[in-house]
Amino acid sequence: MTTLTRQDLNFGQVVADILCEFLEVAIHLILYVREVYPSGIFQKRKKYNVPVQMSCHPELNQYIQDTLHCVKPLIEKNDAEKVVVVIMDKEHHPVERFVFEISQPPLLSISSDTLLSHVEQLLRAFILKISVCDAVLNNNPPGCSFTVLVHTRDAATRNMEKVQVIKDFPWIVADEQEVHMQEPRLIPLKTMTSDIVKMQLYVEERAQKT
Amino acid sequence: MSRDGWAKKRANARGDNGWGGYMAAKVSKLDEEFKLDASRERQKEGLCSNIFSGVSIYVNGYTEPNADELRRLMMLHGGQFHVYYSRSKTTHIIANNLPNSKIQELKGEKVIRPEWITDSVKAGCLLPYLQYQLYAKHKGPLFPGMTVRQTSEIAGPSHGPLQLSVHQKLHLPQCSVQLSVPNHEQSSSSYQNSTNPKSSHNQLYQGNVQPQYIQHNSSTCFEASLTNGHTHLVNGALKPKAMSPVKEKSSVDKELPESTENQLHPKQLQPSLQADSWPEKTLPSSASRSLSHSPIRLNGSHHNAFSSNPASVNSTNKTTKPGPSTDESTSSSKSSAQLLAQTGDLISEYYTHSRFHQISTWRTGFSEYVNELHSKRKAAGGASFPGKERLRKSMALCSSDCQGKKVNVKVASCHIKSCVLHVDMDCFFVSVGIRFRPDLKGKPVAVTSNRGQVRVPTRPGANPQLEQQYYQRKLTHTQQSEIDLYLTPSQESPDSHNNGVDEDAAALSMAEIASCSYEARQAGVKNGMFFGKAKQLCPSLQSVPYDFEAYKEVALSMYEILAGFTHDIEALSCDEVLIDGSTLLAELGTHPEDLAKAIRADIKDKTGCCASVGMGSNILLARLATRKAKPDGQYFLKSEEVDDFIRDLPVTSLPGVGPVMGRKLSAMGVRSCGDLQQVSLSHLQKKFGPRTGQTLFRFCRGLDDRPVRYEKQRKSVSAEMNYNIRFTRIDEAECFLTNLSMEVQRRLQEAGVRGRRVTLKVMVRKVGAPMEPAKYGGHGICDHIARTVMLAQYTDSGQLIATAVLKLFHAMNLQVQDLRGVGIQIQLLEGNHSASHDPTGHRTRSIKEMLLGQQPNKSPHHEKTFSTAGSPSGSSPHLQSPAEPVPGTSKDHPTCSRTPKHSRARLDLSIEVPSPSQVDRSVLEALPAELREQVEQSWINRDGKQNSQRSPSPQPPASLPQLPSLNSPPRPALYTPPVGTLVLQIPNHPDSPGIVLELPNFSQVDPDVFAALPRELQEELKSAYNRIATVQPQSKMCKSSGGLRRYKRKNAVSPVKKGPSPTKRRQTTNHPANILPLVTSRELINAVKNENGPSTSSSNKDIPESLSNFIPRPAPSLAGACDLTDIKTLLREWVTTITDPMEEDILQVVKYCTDLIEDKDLEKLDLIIKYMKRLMQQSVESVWSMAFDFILDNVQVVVQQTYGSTLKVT
Repeated sequence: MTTLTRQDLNFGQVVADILCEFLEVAIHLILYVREVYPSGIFQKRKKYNVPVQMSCHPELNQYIQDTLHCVKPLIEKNDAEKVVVVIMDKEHHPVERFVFEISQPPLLSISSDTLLSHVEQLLRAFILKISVCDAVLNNNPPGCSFTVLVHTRDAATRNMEKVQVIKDFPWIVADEQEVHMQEPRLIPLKTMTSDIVKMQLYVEERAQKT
Repeated sequence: MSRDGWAKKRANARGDNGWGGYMAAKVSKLDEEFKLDASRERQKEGLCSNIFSGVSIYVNGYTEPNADELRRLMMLHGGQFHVYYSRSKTTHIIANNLPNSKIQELKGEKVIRPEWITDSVKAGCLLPYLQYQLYAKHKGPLFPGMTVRQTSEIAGPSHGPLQLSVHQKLHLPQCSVQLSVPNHEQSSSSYQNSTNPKSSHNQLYQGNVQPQYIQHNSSTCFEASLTNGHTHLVNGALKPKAMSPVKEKSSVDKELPESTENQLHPKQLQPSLQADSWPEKTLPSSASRSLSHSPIRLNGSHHNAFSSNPASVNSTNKTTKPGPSTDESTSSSKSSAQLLAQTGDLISEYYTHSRFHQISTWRTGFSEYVNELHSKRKAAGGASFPGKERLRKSMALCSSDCQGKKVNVKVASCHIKSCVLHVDMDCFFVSVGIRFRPDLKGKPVAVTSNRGQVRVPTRPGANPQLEQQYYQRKLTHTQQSEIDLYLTPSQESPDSHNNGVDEDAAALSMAEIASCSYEARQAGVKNGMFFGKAKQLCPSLQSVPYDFEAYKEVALSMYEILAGFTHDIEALSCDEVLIDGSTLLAELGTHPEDLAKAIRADIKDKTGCCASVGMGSNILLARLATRKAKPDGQYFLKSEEVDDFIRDLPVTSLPGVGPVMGRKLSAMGVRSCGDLQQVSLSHLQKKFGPRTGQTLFRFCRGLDDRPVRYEKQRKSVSAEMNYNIRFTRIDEAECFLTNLSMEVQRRLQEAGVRGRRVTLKVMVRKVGAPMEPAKYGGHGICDHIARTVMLAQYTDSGQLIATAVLKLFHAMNLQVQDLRGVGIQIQLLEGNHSASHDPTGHRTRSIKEMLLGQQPNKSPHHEKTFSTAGSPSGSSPHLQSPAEPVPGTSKDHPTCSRTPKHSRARLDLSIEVPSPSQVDRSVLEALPAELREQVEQSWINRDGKQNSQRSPSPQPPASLPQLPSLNSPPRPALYTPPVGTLVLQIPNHPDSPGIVLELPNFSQVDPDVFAALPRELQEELKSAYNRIATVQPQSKMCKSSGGLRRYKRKNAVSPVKKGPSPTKRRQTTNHPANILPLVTSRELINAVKNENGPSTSSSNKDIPESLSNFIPRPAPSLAGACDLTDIKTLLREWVTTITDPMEEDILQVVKYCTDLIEDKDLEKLDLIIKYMKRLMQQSVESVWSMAFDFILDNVQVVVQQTYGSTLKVT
């Protein structure tokens, strides 16, 4: 039984890998469930042993991949506090925000494979929740777009600007307009607590969507 | 400008709002100075511009370039520089880095890096500040994060970050230089990484006054450099400079006076620092000394507790301080056992010497007295009422005198359905004190411990002005908001030492006035005022010492007189009594006024003191009438007058309406009871909770249905100490808490009750308050924190309480040095019937016995406790005392006969691993082979290690073989929670309810053994563990690594367990079960949970639950429950069984919900809120839906604060 701790370089990477993989699935699914893109571009796949929808639009996929590629180093260093998928209306005002709040336990370690399978179960629960979240949310206005925001801890942004993971694909500070939402209402979807990460997903929804 | 140091800047950043003219004057003066300097500077430099016109900056913390340089630049280029931050005038805040608290404080302000200014100067025009902003505006106020967006556009400015990284690099060499300097203060604290000989002065000073900075310091070197602005100024020479030569020259010029001032600075402060901390700093060999310093301090405070004379203590304290090296060897080698004894002594000394404590216990005594009267009367079949007879006789006399009047009186008395008399002695302590001193009658007199001198020498480290200002502000402050401490300028600047007035205030006596005569009250003196202050108000004030014997005597005779009339007495305190006069008046046919007259005359006659009597149809009215009756009078509040009478009363005169609630009410525009009558019941209940709201609603109408109860049910038992609490190490605090728990145990046993809810209250020195309060040994300005936990069962065991309390204490995560008061309160009491014949906790049956100095708290076993504690055996005394059997340890006693007094209902037999002699061989053979081996193995282990400690206890009638690995691991009983019990039914013994087994922690369960168990046994265990999980979630905590560490430490603190007590048969072997990896236990939990059959919740909910137990942070719990299903059960029981929810219960739920938010478990919160909504809104009682609204409102507020949005509740 191998034991990894945070001191091992691998640990952060393992967590980041797991999370980014999950986030990719989740973003695709959110885009599908919230009908940001026409359902024609999505294909049914299987992930975490449940059916999920994945876009087959190459540019969109590339964008999501690039984005998560840049998120990964942040998660590795435990710098990312929230990863937010924002769905915006035509005027670029956010209507919905899917907030993945991530916190990693400071001391604990991975100790066996069984735990990772637990994590998979937990992530599956997230996916299932996302796929049914349209039941608790109001419909979005037509013509929505999306963006991904990252709330970092403390001074992580300084390093972010120095090290560009992908060339010509840097982080920029979000506009206030894109962050601020009028009368947001919070709908918790799922919380997980595991050895490697504590994550909760909630949706913030604008009270008046149209 | 920075001459006044950080304290002022800080104070100002917060307290800009209210120190009136002084600040305004100062700010304008500074502005003028700035203007003058600016013109001078401009002339000198020649080059100048107006690029900054309209810009006013405020420099917060350490900046690069420093504040002086920035000020100069602003001068040269037409800007404004504010020494004090003003929200309205300051346009930009300049900072390089800010702590989290400041970021929150300055939310919405422009916080800009100083490069903005330098770059603007270079560019020759005002650059847009946006790209220099230190932190972008962010939404969640709690998270100082930065919101960034992924995009494919070209990057924004990379200029700022680059600058910053350069800046960071500049700092690195500096820090290393500082570290390489020989360091005197290696041992001092966490901020040593940035100290050098000079800066240590500053930092220690800071440490003394502003401890919250220390925490900041410890985090990063970078932050340290921010908070210790002085350090950098002093070390200016070390700093590599990247400035132009011109600038450098001027900044050095500026820095020179600065640095000298900074060196002077701490010296000016010397008087305000603790004397003992100074030699350490100047002596190079202080490293070892400051290590040994902590026990000495405790020694000092320990001494103090014994002495009743503060002055003499002061001197002894001082003599120990200069020579710490002499005590060094002894004190540093102090064992934890001695510590235990010391703190224990402290408590018992405190309670035996604290006269006030005694007086407060009298009330219980007098209640007992009244009880006793009742029981006597029942026994005798009747009682004599000499007072009543006399009154009857006088009535007869009176009636013969004037027949007609008597008829009237009779008619009047027929109308009175019920009448309550409230008898209250007039300024009891004073009137008793001057009974035999007629010369003092009619003069302003105050009872105080002060011997008459007004001035007392100020102790070092104390800051009386600050405290006085704080108290004053607290009084005058209308809002409830946190009052920030600020340091008075006089503490910082040398010139204010000439300020005579302030010095006077500092030297005034801090002895409190316990009671003062009406003459003194007229002069403005109030009870509880400090004597020095009172003397200023009323120069002719005479002080009278305490005379506790006399108080006892007078109080006793008063009660005797009243008992001569009736036994329907409720003792409120030693000088305050409620009498239900209804039956008495009906029997005598007299008017209440006559009765009151008779009572007052008797009291005046026998005691020489005056009493006032208020009468009304209920307790509330009687008490209010007493106010009117005073002094030395009586007042009967007729029911027809009530409305008029109560309308004009201020709300604060209602019982239960203190200053806090008074402020709340006045914020609502309610000042008089008449105003209050206008407020609707629902509004009141919404604002103050259902119960308090109802009470207020009734009280302001003069309604009160509380009966006069001669027997009062105790609601809580507590022990608190807030005098002389100074800990230096965490184990001292732990020992103290343990001892205080034992004191609580004693009181619980004395009162014959057991309780479930344990509350730990602590007073923590308020951040920014001086280290030493003005009052000697007092607690000074404090924050009060309370934490509550629900125990699994009712208990009066000090050990169980100690366990719970220690857990709470650790969870609070406090600086022990800042503890100023500790209290333990036990609520949810239930009567313990066996207590009445408990030989140790015998109740005081007679008031005489009690008053004659029979100190029940000084029962023999306590004496023993502290004498044995000092012995080097290191064993804990209270465990040795056989007179204190405790349920928690009863598992060590194989027979029930050992603990007859405390046997729980179910408890018949409780067994650890029984010794071989106690085990039925046939049963053992029937066990699976593996199991049998384990049992035998454990015996072998035990025989090897603990031959001599075998219990000689007799064989129990029926003993079952045990699950060895389940039971063997050593756990210190003192800290063992009642993790859970397993009840085994014995078919052959129908009369015995079963065998109760203590279950070990999960981590100590060997899964193999578990698997080998018979099916039924497995089932039993599973259900038992499930019960534990529901009742005692905290017990699982010790499985985490942190918990284990703590457990070890505790074990070291209490070597008790290895003591030679014959009843302790604990194993200290390392049984295989002990070294099992955590994983197996974790798996076992899952196994148990999964096998538990269909649970109401989904399976993937259970798993995070079980895993969450391994996270060091305690999961939020409601009354001990943290699992969702348990909480639901709890809530359902609560809502369905109770019609009128208690306010505190509701607050508990709110607390739990906010904990969930903090724990980032919104999902659970959502589920619970929805569940409560269903439950409470279905409930027939409208109170419940109001309660739900209240809970929801509060939760929404917290969610709003945390996430910026509110929960969508559908």
